[in-house]
Amino acid sequence: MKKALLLVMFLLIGLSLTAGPAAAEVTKYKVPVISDFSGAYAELFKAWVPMQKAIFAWWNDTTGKQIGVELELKHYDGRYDSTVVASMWPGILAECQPIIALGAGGPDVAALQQRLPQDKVPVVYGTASYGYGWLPNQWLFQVRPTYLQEFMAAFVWYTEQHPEKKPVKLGIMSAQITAALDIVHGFEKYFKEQLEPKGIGAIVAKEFVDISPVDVSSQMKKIIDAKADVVIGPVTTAMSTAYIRACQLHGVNIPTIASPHHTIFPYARAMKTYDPFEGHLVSAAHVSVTDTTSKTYAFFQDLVKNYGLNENLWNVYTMMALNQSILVVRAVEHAAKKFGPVGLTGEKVYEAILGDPFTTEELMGSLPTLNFTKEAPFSTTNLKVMIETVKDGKYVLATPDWVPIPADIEKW
Amino acid sequence: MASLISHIISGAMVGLLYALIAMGFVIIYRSARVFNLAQGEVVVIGAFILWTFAQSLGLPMWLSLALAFLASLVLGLLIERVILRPLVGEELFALVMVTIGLMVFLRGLALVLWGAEVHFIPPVFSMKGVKIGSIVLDRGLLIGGGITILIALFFSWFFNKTRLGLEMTAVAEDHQIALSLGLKVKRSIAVAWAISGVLCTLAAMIFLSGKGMTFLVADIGLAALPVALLAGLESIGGLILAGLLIGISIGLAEHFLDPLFQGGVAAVFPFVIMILILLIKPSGLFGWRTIERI
Amino acid sequence: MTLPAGVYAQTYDEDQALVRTRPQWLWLIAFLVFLFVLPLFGGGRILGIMNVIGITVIAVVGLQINAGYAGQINIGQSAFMGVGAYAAGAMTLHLNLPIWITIPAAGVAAALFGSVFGVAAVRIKGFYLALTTIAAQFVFSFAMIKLPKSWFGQAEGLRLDPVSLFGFEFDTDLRMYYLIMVIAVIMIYGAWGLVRSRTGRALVAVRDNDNAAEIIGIDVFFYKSLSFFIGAFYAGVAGALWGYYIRYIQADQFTLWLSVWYLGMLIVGGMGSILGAIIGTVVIRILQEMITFIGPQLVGLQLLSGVGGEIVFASMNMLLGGIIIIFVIFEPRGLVHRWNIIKESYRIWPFPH
Repeated sequence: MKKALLLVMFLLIGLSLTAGPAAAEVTKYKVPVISDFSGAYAELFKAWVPMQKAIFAWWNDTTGKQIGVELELKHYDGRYDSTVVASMWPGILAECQPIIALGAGGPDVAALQQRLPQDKVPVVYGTASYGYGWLPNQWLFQVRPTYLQEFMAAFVWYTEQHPEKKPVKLGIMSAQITAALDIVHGFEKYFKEQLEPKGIGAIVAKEFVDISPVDVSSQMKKIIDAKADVVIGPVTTAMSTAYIRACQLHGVNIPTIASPHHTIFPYARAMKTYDPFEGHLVSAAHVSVTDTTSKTYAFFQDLVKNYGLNENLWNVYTMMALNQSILVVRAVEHAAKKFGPVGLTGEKVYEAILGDPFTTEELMGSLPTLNFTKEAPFSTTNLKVMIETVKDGKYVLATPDWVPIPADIEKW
Repeated sequence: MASLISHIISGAMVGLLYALIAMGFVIIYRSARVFNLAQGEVVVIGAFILWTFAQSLGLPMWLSLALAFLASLVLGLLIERVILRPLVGEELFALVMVTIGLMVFLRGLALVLWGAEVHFIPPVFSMKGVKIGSIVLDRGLLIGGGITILIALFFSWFFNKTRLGLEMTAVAEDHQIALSLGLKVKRSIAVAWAISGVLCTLAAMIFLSGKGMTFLVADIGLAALPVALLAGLESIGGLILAGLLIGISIGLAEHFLDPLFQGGVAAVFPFVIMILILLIKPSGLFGWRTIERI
Repeated sequence: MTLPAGVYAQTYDEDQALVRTRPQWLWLIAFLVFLFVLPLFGGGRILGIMNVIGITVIAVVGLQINAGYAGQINIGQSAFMGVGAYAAGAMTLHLNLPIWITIPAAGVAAALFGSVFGVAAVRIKGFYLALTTIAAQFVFSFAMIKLPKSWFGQAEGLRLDPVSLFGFEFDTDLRMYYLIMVIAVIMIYGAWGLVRSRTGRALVAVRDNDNAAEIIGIDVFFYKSLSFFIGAFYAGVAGALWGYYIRYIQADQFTLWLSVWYLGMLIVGGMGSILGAIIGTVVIRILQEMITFIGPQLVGLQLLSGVGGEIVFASMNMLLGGIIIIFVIFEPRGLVHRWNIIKESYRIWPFPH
C-alpha cells in the first residue's frame, strides 16, 4: 500500500515537473491568469473564466488572425493568498514568458506590485482600484478608477436628486478590512474638504462591525438614531446580508451605495428577489448590465452565438471579466500594431498601453475611453459612472446617462 | 443608553451561538481528547446539506431539518470511522494534524459539491424582530440562545449523571484504562462525533436562518474557540457562562472601544479576555484540573 | 543510533559531533554544492519555489525548537514572522539601516514579542497554550492596523525597494536565493548546535516533565520563555527575509492558516528533530506546488468536458487535504522516523530491522 502511494507520488512529481512550456511558435503568446478557485473570489471566478475564454477565442479568431498573433490563456489558482502567488509567480514567468497577465485582487497586488517593474510584465485588473494603489509608475493597470470615486459620484448625484435633504447625512458601517477602510478614509477626507464646507453632505455615524458579522442590529440602531439618509460600508456579501437583516428588524430601509458586485447582485441571486434593496444604489465606471440596447450587449450576443458563451452569463460579475479581457486583448493589439506581431515583450506592451488611448468603440462600448499615464494605474481622464438601483422590485438604471465623477477628488 | 443595552443583549446572543459551536468542540474533546479544528467546515457542510433539502429540493422545513440532522450525524460517524479510528492512541499532534487535513478536504468538498456562490437558507424562525422598548432583537438568535442553554443543561446532566455519559468521560481520561475496565471506547468516540455533527447543523440553522451563506461561514469556528477555552475544554455547563461572558464583553467593546480605536477591537477582545482569565485559572473557568505527578 | 563499524569517539567533542564519518562529510558538502548550483540548471520555477521553501524552513525550524524540543505548542508563528517583517521593513524604510543589522534586529523584535507568550506558557499548558498563541495572530493584525501610519503603514502596509549589502543589490530572484540560502544554512547550523547543547537538553527536560525538571534544578520559567524567544527569533528572521523578497508587507499576509500549516509541516516531518522540520517543510511545499501546477494542466487537458476549471481546482483542495490525512495515518511519527528506519536498515543489513 505504501509502495503504491510512493509510486503515485513520484508519478505526480514527474508529471508536474515535465509539464513545461510548449515549444513557442513565433506568434503564439501565453497569457497567465492569476485566479482564485478556493478563496474569497471563488464565486467571481466561476463567472469570469467562461467570459475570459470566450473573449480571447473571439479575438484570436478575428483580429488576432489578421495581425498574426494568437493568445493562449493559462489559469493558475492563487487561492487568494499572497504566499501562494509569490511562490507561483517565478514559475509563471519561466513557463509562460508572459507579455501581459490578468490579475485577481488584493493578494496578488501585494505579492507582485513591487517586482513587476523588474519582471517587466504589465498586469490588468477588472475590479475598481483602491486609494492606496493610486501610485505613479505602476505596471498594474485597472480598467476602473477607485471605488471611492465611483461611490462619490453616486453620492453627489443623490444629493442633487434630493436637494431638500441637504446636507445629506451619511452613515458609515465598516469592517476592519483594508478595502473598506480605504473607502472610509477617502470619504472622510473628501467630506471634510469639500462637501461639509459647502453644506452638501455630512457624516453623522460611523459604526464598526465584524468581517463576517452575525448581527449588526445594535450598530444599525445608532445609524438610525443619527438619522442617516445614506449608508456606505457593506462591501461584502456577508456584510450586506447582515445589513439588510438589521434593516428588516428595525423596519427601515436606508439606502446604501456600493459597487454592483458587492450588494444587490449577489444577494438577489441567492434570494431570488431584489425587494430588500429597493432604492439602494450601485455605481460602476462601465456600462450597465441592465442596458440591453448597448453595443456591449450586442457583442455579448455575438459571443453567445459564435463562441459558445452561455447566454445566462450576462451579469455584473461577467462584466468585470469582460472589461478586463477586452483591455488585455486591445493592449496586445496596440503593441502588435506598433512593434509588429513578432518578438513582443512585456515592456513593449507596457509602452503600448501608455501610448495611445483605448477608445470606447475598441472596448466594445463597455468603458469610457481610457487614457493611461504614468500618474496612476487607472485612466484619470474621462471619469464617469453609471448608477443602477432597484425600483419597484426591478434592477434598473437610476438615470440613463453617465454621471460624472467629481473632479476635485484628490489622493487620500 | 438604549443602544448600550442593545449591544449587551445582542452580544449575549452572539456569545450563546458561539457557545453552541464550542459545544461541538468540547463534546469531542471530552470523549476523545481530540481537538477538532475542522469544526467550522462541518458547520458549513451542515448548512449546505440543509440548503439542499430545504431550498434546492424544496422540502418542508421540519422535514429538511430532520434530514439534515440525520445527515450530519452520519457525517460525524463517517469522519470518526475513516479518519480517527486508525489513529487511536497516537500522539496528540498527529490527531490535530489530521483534523487540519480534514479541514482542507472538507472545504474542497464543499466547493465541489455546492460551488462558491451565495446560497439562501429559508427562514426557520419568523423573520420579525422582537421588540423590547426601543431595542429590536433578532428572533432567530434569541430562540437559538434559549435552545443553546437548554442543550447545554441537558448535556451537562448527560455527562455527569447518565451511564453512557460517564463512560464517555472515563474514556476521555485514559483510553487504555477505560478499555481495561471493559468500557466501549470506540462507541463512545463515535457517539461524540455524531453529536458534534448534529450540533454543528443546529448552529448553522440558528445562525443562517433566512440569510445567504457561502463557504466562508467556516470562519465562525475560529470565533468560537475563545468560548471553548474560557469554559475549560471539558466543561459543558460552563459554556453558557463563558459564552455570555465573551458575548457581553464583545458587545461592550463594540459600544465603548470601537469608536475609540476605529473598529476592530471586538474581534481581538475575546482573546484578550481569554488570556487574562487563563492566567488566573489555567484550565479555564470550569475545566478539569489535572494533578500533575512526576 | 548505530554507527558503522570502526567509528567511535575518543573525546566528548567527537561524541557530540554531527558529522562523524568521511562519507557523511562528503554527502554534506555535495548537498551544499548542489544547493548553490541548483538555480543554474533549475530554471525560474524552481527558483521561486526554493526561495519560499528557504524562508519557510527558517520559520519552521524555529517552531521545531519551540514546539518539538521544548514541547510548547505555538500556533502563532506566522504572527511572529509578521512582526519580524514589519520591524525589518520599518527599519529599512525609516531608519535606513543596512540589512546585516536589520535582519538580526528583526529577529530580536519578534523574539521579544514571542517571549511575552513564553511568560504565559509557564502558567498555561497544553492545548490552552496552543490556543492562546492563536491570540497572538489577532493581536498582531490588530496592532499593525492601529499603530501610527508613519510607523507601519496601517492597513496599506509597507513598500520596500530592493535591499543591498555593501553595494550588491538583491533585486532578482537569483540574488535573493543566495541570500536566503546562506542565512538558512547559518540558522539551521545554529539550531543543530543549540539542540545538542546544555540548553537543548534543558528544553527537552522541560518538555518531558516540567515538574521533574524544576526539581532537578532547571529553571523552567527561564527555559520556557527562552524557547519562545528562540522560536520567535527564527520566525522574525524568516519574516525579514520574506519582507525583502516580496517587498510589500501587509498584515493580511501573515494569517492563522499559515501558522497552522507550519505546525503541519512539523507533524508530517516529525516532531523533535531538526531534520524533521526540514523534510516536513519541503514535502508539504512541494505538494502544494504540485497542486498549483497540475491544476492548469488538468484543466488544459479537458479531461471531463462539462467539468469546469473551478471544479478541478476545488478538487485539488480535496486532494491536498486527503494526502495530508493519509500521510498522518500511515506515518504518524513523521517522515523523519521513516528515514531513520531506512538508515538503520541499511546500516545493519543483512540483519533484519
